[in-house]
Amino acid sequence: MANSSHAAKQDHKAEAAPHKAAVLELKKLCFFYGTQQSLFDVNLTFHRGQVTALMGPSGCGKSTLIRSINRIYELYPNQRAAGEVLFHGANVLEPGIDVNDLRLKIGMVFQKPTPFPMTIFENVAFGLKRHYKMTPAEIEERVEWALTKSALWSEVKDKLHKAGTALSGGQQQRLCIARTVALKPEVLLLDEPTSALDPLSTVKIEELVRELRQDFTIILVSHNVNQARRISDETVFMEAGRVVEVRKTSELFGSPKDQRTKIFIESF
Amino acid sequence: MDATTFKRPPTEDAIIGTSLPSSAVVESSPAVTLKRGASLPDKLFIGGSRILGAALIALLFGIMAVLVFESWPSLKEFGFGFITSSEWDPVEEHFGAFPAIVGTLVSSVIALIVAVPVSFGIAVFVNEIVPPRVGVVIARLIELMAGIPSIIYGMWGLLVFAPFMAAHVQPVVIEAFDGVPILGTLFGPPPIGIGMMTAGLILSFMVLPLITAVMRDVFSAVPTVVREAAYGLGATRWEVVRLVLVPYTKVGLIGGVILGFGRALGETMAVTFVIGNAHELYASLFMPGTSISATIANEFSEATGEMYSSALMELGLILFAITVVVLVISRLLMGGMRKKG
Repeated sequence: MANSSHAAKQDHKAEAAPHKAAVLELKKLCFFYGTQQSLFDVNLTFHRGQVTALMGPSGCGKSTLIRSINRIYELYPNQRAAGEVLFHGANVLEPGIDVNDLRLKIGMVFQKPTPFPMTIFENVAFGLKRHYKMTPAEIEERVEWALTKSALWSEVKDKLHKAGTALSGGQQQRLCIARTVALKPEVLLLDEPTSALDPLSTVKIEELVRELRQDFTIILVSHNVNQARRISDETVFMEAGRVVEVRKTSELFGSPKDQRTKIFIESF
Repeated sequence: MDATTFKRPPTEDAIIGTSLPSSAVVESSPAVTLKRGASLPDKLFIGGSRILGAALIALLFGIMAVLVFESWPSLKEFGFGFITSSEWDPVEEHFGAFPAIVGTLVSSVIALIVAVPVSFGIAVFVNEIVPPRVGVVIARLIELMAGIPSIIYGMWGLLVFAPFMAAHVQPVVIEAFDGVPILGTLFGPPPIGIGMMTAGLILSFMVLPLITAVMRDVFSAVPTVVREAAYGLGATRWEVVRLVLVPYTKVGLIGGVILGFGRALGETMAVTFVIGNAHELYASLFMPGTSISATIANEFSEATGEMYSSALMELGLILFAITVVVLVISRLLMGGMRKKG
């Protein structure tokens, strides 16, 4: 772990970078499922303190894109990424990078709530105990901080030692966000975090994402145009594995330059 | 057999529920007449499956009744003493099943102690670590182990494994634990190869494929997103297995272990070959012993006289009871956990 995380550790010096600095940069990112290519030379930059929404029709590669950033695709033997994903200048796709360390710094929340079969407290403390040398008191403090950040604390503070699976769907998803936020990652990857939730829970998660923007670099995959419009600072429109248009959200929705973007937005 | 696993045929209510209630017939349009009740093929199917289901339950109770009937003389003669007595004397017609019952349990427990960790390791390796294509090959090979007839395991155990144990394993173990309290007794001399330990080890080879298969099944049932979420939090493979997969599949894993236990309890042929068939209890696991099924298999053909065969029947009844109790306990355990989890 010590030698392989070396590259990632170096980048931490660059953390003091100014506001809105580029945290992640994708250069000529290509992705393959077996022999089928699903991303074609994607170039993108993600900035600190911003929510960037990835939007596009199903199968356009938006989920694939964020799955290459934390290398979660590597769980499957026939998936492969090529090109560069620069995290503070270091390419995370290089062999020898410690993926466990990488995933602490680039956290991910999935489409469906995925509470682990343990208590609410243990769910949030999941990564803490093992990756950081924290005392029980520090862990408790961090759990409360993460749950507060995720707008869940007031609802669960009296039942921290009940099963996480007993919460409602929306609460479970906020628990998953808390679990990721607790590790204090730099980047939050949100893969359609509200697609399995009811409208009320969706609103809560969206508010939460806007709150969290101050502390994290957030990349949000959404196939819901209105959601992208509501909560993102910058929007990327993708189609068939290629980036069509990247602009400030207000500009992109106000006057889309590309005809394909326009059609997609208007179809909603 | 476990009565609770039988699928019950649908109840009367369910059948009626599938047809439309009479109030649903629209009165204003007389041209439309809705048929009532299930169609003929469906009726035949439901009736047929009901008969088959009932037949299985009847069979189960039939076996139980026959066992009780046949072992009645022995039950009457020895009473509860049959279970606690260690005397097995066909000539004097005095029978006690204690060594056989203990032998059955001890050999099965040894089998589990060895097979459970190994199966768990294999299941994790095949499902979580190697690429699926390689994993499937390994899994199929292990499943092949389950297809080997138990007599082959018995012969291999007697002719190959037991001499190997006697020559290379037991002397070393006896030497190592010599003088150590408890362990020195459990693994005491002589190194004769056949015995309780060897029987347990052979049994472990036999239940290993079953336990591995169940564990693989329950691991595959864990949703991909849950796995990804754990990896996404920077968890290592071992952490994902220990902290997420195992708690997630606790119930199924225990089910697999108990299934293996049930299999080991009843296994006859291989055990008969290597257990040594001694109606005595020894402190050392390297000494010969016997099990319920081994005793029945060995002595049934020579059981002359009503009392002798009746005693063997009662052994069968006890094995039946132990198996049922084990399965019921497992059901209760798993039921309780499912509610909690």
